[in-house]
Amino acid sequence: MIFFKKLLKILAKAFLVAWCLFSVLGFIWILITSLKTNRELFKNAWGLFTEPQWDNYASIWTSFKLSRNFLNSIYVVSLSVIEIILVCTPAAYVLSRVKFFGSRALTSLVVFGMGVPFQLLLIPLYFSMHSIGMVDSLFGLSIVYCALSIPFTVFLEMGFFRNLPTALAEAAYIDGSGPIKTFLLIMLPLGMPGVITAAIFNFVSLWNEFLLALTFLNSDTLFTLPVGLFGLQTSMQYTGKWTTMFAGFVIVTVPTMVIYMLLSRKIISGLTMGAIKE
Amino acid sequence: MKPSGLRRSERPMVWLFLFPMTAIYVLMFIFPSLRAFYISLFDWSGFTASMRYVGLGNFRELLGDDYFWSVAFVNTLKILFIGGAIIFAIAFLLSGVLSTNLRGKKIFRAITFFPTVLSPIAVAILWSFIYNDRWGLLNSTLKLLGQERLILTWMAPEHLFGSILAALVWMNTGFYCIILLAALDRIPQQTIESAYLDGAGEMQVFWRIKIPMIKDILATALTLWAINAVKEFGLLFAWAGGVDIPAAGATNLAVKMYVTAFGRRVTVYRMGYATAMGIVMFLLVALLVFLISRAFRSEVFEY
Repeated sequence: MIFFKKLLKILAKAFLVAWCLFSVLGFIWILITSLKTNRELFKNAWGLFTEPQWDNYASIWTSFKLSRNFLNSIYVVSLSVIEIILVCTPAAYVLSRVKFFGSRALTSLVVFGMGVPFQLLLIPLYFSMHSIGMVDSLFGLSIVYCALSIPFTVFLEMGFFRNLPTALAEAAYIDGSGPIKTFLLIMLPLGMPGVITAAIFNFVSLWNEFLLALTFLNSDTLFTLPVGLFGLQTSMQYTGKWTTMFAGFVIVTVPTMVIYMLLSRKIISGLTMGAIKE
Repeated sequence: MKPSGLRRSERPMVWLFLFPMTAIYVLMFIFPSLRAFYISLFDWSGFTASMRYVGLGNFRELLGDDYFWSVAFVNTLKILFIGGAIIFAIAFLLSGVLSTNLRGKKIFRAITFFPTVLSPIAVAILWSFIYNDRWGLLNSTLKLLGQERLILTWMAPEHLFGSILAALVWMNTGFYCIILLAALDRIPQQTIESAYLDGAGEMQVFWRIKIPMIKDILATALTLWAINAVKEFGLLFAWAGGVDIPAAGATNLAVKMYVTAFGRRVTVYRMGYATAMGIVMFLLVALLVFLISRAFRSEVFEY
């Protein structure tokens, strides 16, 4: 029995190691392959390159507008996150700390949105935006992102504000500080971890967002990184320049990976906090 | 905790704080969601003003659309239940190991979680490198190990869905694993140890102690999975390669809905019909969320 238990534990540990090794080896394989020629890849997929083909990187960088896609992504995601935080934070603060007529109903309405798949409102929203000329614009997309991020962001921030001590706010009132001042100078700094968590969550999920970007953007000069990457993938399948595509994959994922390595703790807690914090 | 109230004179502030969020949310989330039910009653190409009222015609047509149910709907259900079972099984296994005193725990945790921050399109590309039948990682490794008989054309129609499902599992497991890990880490060590002292086996501790004690977070994790699984779009769509009629193995409800509405090269533009599909997806999510909350509401466990 004890032997069996030990064996089970070792097997489980081995599984974890194998699971992680798969990811690590996979990425090393991609890094190596991105510096090979197509012929070398066909001859031996696991072999090393004889001479690093930096050309793969140069050609993908110039022939595809990855740098353009990159800047578009940075612009639209940063703008959206700022909008989201500005719009959601005061609302989450009030909803979590003040009881007023309809506060319950409004909270339920917002939380309800978390269970709505975007496919339900995709078409009506697209044509509303179309009718006011906001389709095929990064600003328009940022507003769409903002609107659709409201439910989770408000829910997440409410969890943080609800748990703040009331004493400080009370003291501020007694000292004659108005609600805006109390919010900005006292409660917001206290709730900052929640705001940062919400910002990280939205940044990561919007950085990878594909369906809405694909629907709301038409011109390739506006494409965000996921849409640009999608175009790259579709066209590469026809040209067969495989190792070049490996280089494209590296260019796109390495920044994510570097940022993730630097901030993994913050990112992991940012992405999972909503589920854990009640 | 009692929320601190505002004085009467400060009541207008409440509305000032709430107005931007409420306005955007109602105009751009709630209104389009309600309008979807209206649009689904019409035959509409979207870019013209002429909408032909067809009543429940779109839904009637959808009910008779064999491909929608036998391929797209079934694939979504397979992702939900088969994919979900595998994801949660692996997530439990990994989080169980990660919750012990393991050397390099933080690195393992970070690597396990990493696929979560990758774009689904990047994941689709990554796995197409793995599955390529001439030089892919999988087949060339099998060759290296002398297991040629296991070599398959992984992206051939008959294997496509299974191959995509494996990629989906890889992409999603880390997230649920870390959620479960955070939940497991909250269980007081004493509770588990005393159970072992009382002679409980590994399985008993898992089902009788760990699961009940992480019930609330497990319910949240399952709810998130239900929503994400039904919404799943990028990975399958990228896999289909942007063609207008994606392969059956790469078609789920979300892909079918998108192609019906916005398929680019062949103009379909059936907005009413596609919206009806969106409503089916919404109802599916609503049903799942209801069932999960029902299943987990009974007997609240107290720490």
